Amino acid sequence: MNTESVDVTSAAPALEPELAAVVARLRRLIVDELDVRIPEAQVTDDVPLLEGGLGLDSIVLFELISLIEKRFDFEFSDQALHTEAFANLKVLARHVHDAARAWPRSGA
Amino acid sequence: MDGTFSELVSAAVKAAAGRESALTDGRRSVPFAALAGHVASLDRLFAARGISPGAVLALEATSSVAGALTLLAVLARGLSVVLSPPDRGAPRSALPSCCRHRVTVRSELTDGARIALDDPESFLDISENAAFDPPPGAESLASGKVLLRTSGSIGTPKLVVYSHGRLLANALLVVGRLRLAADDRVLLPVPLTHMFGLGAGFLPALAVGASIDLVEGANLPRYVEHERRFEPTVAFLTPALCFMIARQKSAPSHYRHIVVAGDKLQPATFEAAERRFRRVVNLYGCTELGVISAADPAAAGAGRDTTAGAPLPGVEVRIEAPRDAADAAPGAGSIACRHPYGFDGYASGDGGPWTGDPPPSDGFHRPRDLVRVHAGGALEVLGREDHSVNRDGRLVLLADVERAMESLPGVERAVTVLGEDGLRGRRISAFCVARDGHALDGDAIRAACAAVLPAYAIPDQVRLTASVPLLPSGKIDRRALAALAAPNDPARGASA
Repeated sequence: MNTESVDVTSAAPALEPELAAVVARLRRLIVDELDVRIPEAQVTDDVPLLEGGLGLDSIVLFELISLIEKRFDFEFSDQALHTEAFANLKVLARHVHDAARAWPRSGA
Repeated sequence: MDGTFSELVSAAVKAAAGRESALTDGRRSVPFAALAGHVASLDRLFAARGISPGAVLALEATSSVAGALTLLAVLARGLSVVLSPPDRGAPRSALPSCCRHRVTVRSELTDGARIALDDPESFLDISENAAFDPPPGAESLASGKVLLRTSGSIGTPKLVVYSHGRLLANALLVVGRLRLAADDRVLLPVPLTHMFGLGAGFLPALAVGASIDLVEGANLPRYVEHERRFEPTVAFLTPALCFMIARQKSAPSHYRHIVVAGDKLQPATFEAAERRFRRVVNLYGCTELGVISAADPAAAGAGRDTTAGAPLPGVEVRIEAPRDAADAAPGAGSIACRHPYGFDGYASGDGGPWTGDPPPSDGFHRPRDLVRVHAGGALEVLGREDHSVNRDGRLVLLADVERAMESLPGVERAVTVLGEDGLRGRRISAFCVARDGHALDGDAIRAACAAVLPAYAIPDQVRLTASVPLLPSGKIDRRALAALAAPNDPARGASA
């Protein structure tokens, strides 16, 4: 697991502010709400969430998906569910951001 | 004893003739017509490396095309094999001393291995076991056997022994009940190294020439990915995976049914699963006997949600008085079961003769499940008879958890109780009494459990208590503790 780069945000190319905010919220979900006890320093923007990275197992990943849906107020469709979306926080943030915006809301 | 699995491969090829049946895993695909060629090339490699009947092989197989081909080649060669999922521990756990070689199938998913199916050396690590030292009496296991690790106790390991012929006959018995046929497309997101994936899913599907798609590291997005590409007619699922997928609002039209083994689905999950997958077939079995009963996928009658169907043909079931009268429910008791093709017996963890309880003289195996028989013979599994629980598909004896926790510094006494259903199985709550002079913290104890327990056995909550409540008989009052554990149970997982 890559733990070297603690301050990755300064090294990586700047994210759009909107996406950076989503990344930050997703990081808080993983560190504070999932039952995984992963130190915050390991949850970098670029670390893979599944194999070869944080190694979230199927149940923890499901809990993360459920939390995202609750907090961002949308549901992952079958089409939106693919492992690439969970490559890392930056990629996931993009998917969450787009899916939440496209989600039809009643009374909107 | 060899030949039977070679015949299975030939039968599969024949059954699939004229169709486009294939073995796939999302990355690789092998048409059935090419199966025998791959098995032969693996066989040559094994021969060159001195892997022959007469010494047991440890096979660590991923759920992938490479893993399945290797397994088939091992079986077709008539080898005795201890099957296990890939060992990702560091250091890796010790092999049983009866094993001369260890063959590990590399994983494209977790190791990033670059493999070519035509070149078995690209996907196999073969090593000799430095600690090879077959115990006395191990000769009888040295050829033609499959040795499965029990999902059992964290304590003394034991192996479940099947002769090749019995394992194959056991699997073939499942075909008719699950109505598998050559035009089926069978999705297997469960391990090939456990009896559910192997004896209920993989071997029966192969025998009829059905297409098979293996999913390594199954999770919700990965399942949906495979489903989209493979369009299965039948899938084999754990209750947890079923729960996760059934929440998707889609209802793909390609499904005929799914097969679910393990704990009973919650009524709402069963309904949602029937909406999404057309039909849910509950299956009941164990490592020692394989499939004991399964619902008929073509029967639409009531009770399918609570029962796991009638026993397979030739399987005899008796209901006996449970050991603990407190476990008795009306019409229910402890199941005893005789299977025409059940296991040969146990071996000790090192592959030597089993020295624990002798096999029952009447040939009836007792899985220690509480069962009620419904009209028509359908079995309703009510739960475990002993103080145990299935978590992540593995049996956890709560006594093992308590003993492990009592080995932690400052813990005088640990008592565990089961709570409501969660995705990993029923929740485990632990109550700890501190040793004199020790200040303990529940969360800290829970964190410390990671050093003495596998992840699936770590209690979901740990609380401190000044003393353990007792019944007048002097036994622990687990009901009082369960009531104490419940109110603050943060509703996570399946119940959410």
